[in-house]
Amino acid sequence: MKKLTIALILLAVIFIVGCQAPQDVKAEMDKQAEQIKMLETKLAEHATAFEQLKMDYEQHMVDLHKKTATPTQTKTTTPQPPTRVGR
Amino acid sequence: MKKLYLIPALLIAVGAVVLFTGCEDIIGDKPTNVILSAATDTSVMITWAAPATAPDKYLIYFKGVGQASYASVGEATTTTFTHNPGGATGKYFVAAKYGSDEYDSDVKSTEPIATASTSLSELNATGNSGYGWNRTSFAGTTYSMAEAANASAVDLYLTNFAAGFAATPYNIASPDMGPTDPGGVVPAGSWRVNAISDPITDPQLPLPKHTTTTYFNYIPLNAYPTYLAVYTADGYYGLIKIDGLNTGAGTVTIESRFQAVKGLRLIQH
Repeated sequence: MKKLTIALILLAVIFIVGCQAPQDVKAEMDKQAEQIKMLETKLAEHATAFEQLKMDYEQHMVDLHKKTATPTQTKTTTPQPPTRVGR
Repeated sequence: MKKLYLIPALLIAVGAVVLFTGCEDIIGDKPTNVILSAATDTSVMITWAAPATAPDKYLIYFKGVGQASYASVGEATTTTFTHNPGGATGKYFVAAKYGSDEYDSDVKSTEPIATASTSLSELNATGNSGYGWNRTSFAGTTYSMAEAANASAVDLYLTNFAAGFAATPYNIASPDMGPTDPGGVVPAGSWRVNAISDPITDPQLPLPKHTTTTYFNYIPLNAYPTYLAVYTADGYYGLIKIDGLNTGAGTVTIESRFQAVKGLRLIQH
């Protein structure tokens, strides 16, 4: 009878400890998922910033290699705009 | 005596079975392939792919621009949901709910894609006069209007509809006006037939609905800064801010916000 009692206690302990572990793993996974989500957002922001930097750099290089501004004409005339139509 | 050892052994075996089958386990999975589209021009349709194990239901979460946290805006038992955000833009995700457990999808956003201020030149001044949004990254870039190869990339250009760049006012015009522009530098080509709105007073509100009475082939710039809406030939809405007029160099500055969800005119940022 004593051994039976010990066995039952042992079983209860295994049950409690065994159930706790997946709970902890799940909580940890949820935490990591949240972190991954945050990192994904940051990555997207950095990617946009990088694209902008790239564009600015390309524009800068274009400007750098162009000759001094040579407008085709600089005379001041009153422009005659085309007809403005809805579309 | 033998039986006394047998009983605990049996109990442990039964316990082990209970342990591996009775405990709460990870049984669900997250929704995938979340897609945002325009249900109307001011409401958002969210669709997704169901996980292998069907959940009890789905919860749809939304975090508007400027809000600190996500809030559930509805639930569904199918894989589609329509949300009217009341003029707001923001981030969405879908959670598959199994009992008390939730499995979250990736986040998708209706927040407009921002492109920082850059210089835009009048058609006859030095520098690029065209400006267009990439249809993959949705970032804005300047383009030369002198190259027909850029026709498929340009959404608007800066012109004074005259030779030279000294005359004002400058105008924001649809690219298809380029080949007949008196500036005389735009070659013939399949330039986009876009539409530009009159100036906007509040750049946070939904852009004007596209109609032929609210959008035009070009808009004169009579004040700086000026906010304008652009409706593209392929059905996107964008917001531009024109500032920094420099008649000496023939330039202005342009910055933009582009709504990546086709047909949606929400632009809050």
